[in-house]
Amino acid sequence: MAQSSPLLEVKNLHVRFETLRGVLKAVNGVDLRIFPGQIVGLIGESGSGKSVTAKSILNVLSTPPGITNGEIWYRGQNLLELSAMEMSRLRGQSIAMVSQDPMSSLNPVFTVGEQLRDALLWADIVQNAAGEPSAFNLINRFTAAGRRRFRQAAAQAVEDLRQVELPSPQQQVKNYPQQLSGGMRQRVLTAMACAGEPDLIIADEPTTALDVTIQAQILMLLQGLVKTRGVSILYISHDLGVVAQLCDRVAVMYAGEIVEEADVRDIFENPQHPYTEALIRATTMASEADLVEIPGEVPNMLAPPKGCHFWPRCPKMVEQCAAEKPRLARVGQDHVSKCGRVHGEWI
Amino acid sequence: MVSGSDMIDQPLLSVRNLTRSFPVQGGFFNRVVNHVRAVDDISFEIRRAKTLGLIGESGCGKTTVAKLILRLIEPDMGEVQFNGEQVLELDAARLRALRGRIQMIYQDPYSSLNPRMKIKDIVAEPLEIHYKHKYSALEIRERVVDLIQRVGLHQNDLGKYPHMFSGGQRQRIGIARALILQPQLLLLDEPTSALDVSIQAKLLKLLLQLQRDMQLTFLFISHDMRVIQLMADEVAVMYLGKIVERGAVEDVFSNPRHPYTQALLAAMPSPDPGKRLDRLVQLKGEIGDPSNIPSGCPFWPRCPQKIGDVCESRPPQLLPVNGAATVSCHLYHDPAGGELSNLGATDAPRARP
Repeated sequence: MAQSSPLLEVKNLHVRFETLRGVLKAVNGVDLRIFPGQIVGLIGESGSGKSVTAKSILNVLSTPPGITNGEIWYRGQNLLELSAMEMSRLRGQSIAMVSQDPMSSLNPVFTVGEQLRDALLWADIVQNAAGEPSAFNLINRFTAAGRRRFRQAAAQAVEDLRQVELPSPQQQVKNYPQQLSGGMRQRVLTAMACAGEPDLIIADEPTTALDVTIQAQILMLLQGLVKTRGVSILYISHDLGVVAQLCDRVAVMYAGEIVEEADVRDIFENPQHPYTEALIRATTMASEADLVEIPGEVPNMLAPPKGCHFWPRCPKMVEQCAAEKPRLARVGQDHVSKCGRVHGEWI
Repeated sequence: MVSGSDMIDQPLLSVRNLTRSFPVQGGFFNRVVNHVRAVDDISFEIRRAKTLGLIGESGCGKTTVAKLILRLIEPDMGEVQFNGEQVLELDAARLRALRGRIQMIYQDPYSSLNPRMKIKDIVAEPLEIHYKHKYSALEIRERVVDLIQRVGLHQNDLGKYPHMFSGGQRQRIGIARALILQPQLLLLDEPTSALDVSIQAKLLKLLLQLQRDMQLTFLFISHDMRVIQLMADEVAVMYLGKIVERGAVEDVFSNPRHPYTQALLAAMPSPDPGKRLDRLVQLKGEIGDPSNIPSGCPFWPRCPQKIGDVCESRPPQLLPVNGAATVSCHLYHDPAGGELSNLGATDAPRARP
């Protein structure tokens, strides 16, 4: 996969939140590369900083504002240096997002057809209008050309919903989000994400709220997008099973850091970091012996442990782990791990 | 299996033909426009100190089954026998006593604990309710301390409030509260689905430990096949209010017979990158709507192995296959055979006395 240049490259990303109780370092020096047509899985437990990483790529961290440092390179631009206008041209057009909860991402007072139509119109405006895209253009139905564009977008919406295999799209466009099931809403959201023909889709736990048989359908849909449209996907999940089936490359996050990254086969067949190993066993659960103790809980990021963030829970911990910070080191071909013991930094 | 009148071999809980439907109101005068058949003619047994796993997708009626057993919702018809006692015939006082022996653990560890109560009061509250003034303050404290340590929390935690704990710890508090009455049966309604995998693993381990130590019987409700495989001795698969397959967990997981069970198992993503993604998808379409259950077999609109008209017109019966698991599917039982002709159980259900 390393033959072409990466579509997105995150370099040494830091995100911190200044809260009343102190500075919370949610992301600490994350490096991530996504190549065209690749599905990269970002896995970790809640609070590990996966979603914050994703949101900082889109530059949408909400209040209290997250303070972001580092570089996010996309097609020769550092996204963190773009102006608000430049960023809003990019958002939803070049980089789109599918979020976990399809109900709260859709507007309950518009039909799904209207919402998808508006997304298509907006994509059209952003791509064709000079200067700052304005929502005013969206409601310009006073000219014949405007009305024609409206009709075209509405027809396109039905077609796009058919593309994402929503059953009977002609009828469904007239329905409101709450009249659709969770899986159908996620299809609508996927269609909206594709409206601007992005080349990167950030999918933040898109199947967590769904049942397994529906989850399988949505995963197939996402994989289909990669095959037919050549998009890349950053797939955020806490479910190792899903990541194993879908992704080409996997990065494991723990307490704001990537602790291991490798191709999907390497990660599952030859995990190097004790945390990855424990996660895999806890997911497999073949027998009671697999319920390995990861003692304790995810650390409080207001006061993370010194040294390696994982040492208080690590079964292989030695004294140095609590004192020194391990580096992310190569442990194989395209395989990096951040454990002082494993790559022989200490002992 | 049958060894005279020996109570030990009797199942602890036995449920027969349990049925409940809910009216759907709508229209101009809020009239009843439809019925949702949430639980439809369900029967199962759980033996002592064993675990029955109840599995199915959202809306299939799993949680309603648990609530019907406790009579938190009254069944329309059917029979629930606990320890040889007819649960549905109990009066209010004896029902309350029964609820001390059957306790429920809920899915959401955030909403199931009162945020204004300290942990020691939360855990002791069932004793106050069920045995008012029977125990001294000292005895209560001893039992609370014992349980809170058994579930892996510390004595110092007793004075804290629920918001000071993480999800996994709160679920432990919920378990301690359920165990203080020394129940025989625990109804666990998705106890780990709100938790991270590493926390889930620890909680499952704790539950297995407690089951061995205290000879507990579990009804374990989950949508996660991996959890059921680990926890359960027997498994019942529900689809749209009906049990479609039931059997020993090794048997059902290694040799699933009902097309729905097969699809569920196939759709379970395993942490094995060698498996092809397209093999996950065996089912098209959405989960059926419980207010509009198809005639015949409720699964036929999604079934990849539908035989033909018989699936649409005749409801299959839950019958044993080769003496092992019981399956409700026309693939395994000849619909034309005489054995099925007199089994229209849903047409003439026994009403509750």
